[in-house]
Amino acid sequence: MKLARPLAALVAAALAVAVAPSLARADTPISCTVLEIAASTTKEGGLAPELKPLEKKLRKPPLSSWNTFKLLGRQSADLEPMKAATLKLAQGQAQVMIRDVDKAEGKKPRVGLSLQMDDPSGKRVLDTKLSVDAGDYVVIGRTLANNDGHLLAMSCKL
Amino acid sequence: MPTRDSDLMQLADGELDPATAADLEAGLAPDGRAKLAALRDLREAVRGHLELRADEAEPRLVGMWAEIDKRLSLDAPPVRQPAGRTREAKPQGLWARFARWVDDHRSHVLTGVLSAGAVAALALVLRPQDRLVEKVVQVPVAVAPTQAPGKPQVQVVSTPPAVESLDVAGGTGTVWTIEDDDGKTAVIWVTPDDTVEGL
Repeated sequence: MKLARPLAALVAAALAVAVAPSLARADTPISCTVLEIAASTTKEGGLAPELKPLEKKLRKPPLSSWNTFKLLGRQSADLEPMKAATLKLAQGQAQVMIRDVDKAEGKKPRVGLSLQMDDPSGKRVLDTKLSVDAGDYVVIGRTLANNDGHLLAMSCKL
Repeated sequence: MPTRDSDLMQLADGELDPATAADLEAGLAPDGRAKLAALRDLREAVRGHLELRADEAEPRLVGMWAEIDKRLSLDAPPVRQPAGRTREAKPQGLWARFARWVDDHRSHVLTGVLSAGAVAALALVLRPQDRLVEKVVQVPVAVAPTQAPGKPQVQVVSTPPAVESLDVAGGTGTVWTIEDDDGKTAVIWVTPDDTVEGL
């Protein structure tokens, strides 16, 4: 009986140590990377070395309409859930927010995103909500007046 | 001149030279002669008694002397016989000869063994302590398990991207899913109204 109280405290401490990381993980910022890309069609074609990981995607329709891809900017941010972040772009700006993170058994963690993209004049071009597996890319973009493309490729990791 | 008792006793014991003894005995008075005879009788009686006692003790003395001889023979160092005589008398094997040699040179062998032990101890004590031995060991590359040991492997399933809502201003929104080795990528594309036909 004398040991019961210290033993209970020990078990509680062990549980706290075991549970604390998972609780903290819910509020842990999620690392997201946004690549701003200019797509165009040129005689030579070309791909920025920084975009090499995205090459397979950029060579498939509809993005294969262009053969030249330049990196306009790269931004990384640790986003907290339900806290919007505004990203200044070379051409306009974007708002990004992590809506939720779903960790279902046997599935990749799923990230719910809200994305808005404005053109350089501040006009809202796109407003979407979607969910993707953590680590997968989301590409949003628009066709410019000269038929060039303006892309944002975004990926979030836990 | 009266004869002294000491002269009579020497005469009776036969300790005087013959000429002196003859002169002394010839010049003895009657009482001197009586004393000399009494001394000689006493001497004979004592000698007879001692000889009798010696004869009685003879058997015991013989046993005692035998014991003394035995003890003396045991304590005496062994008499080394010439090796040639021994070999001729009884041929011995190599081991027996070696043992015999070691036995004969025990002190030399002990000295040698002790010297060798001292040298070995010195070599152990004075050996360099900070010696570094480098060994190259080929270690097979271990492949890290993808799941915790002891737990069954869990197949993680990918889910395609899902667009829940899409609002586009002044254009048309199109959603594609590009699938490659890296997974599935959602592409949301906005085509302004005035460039729809261009795409």
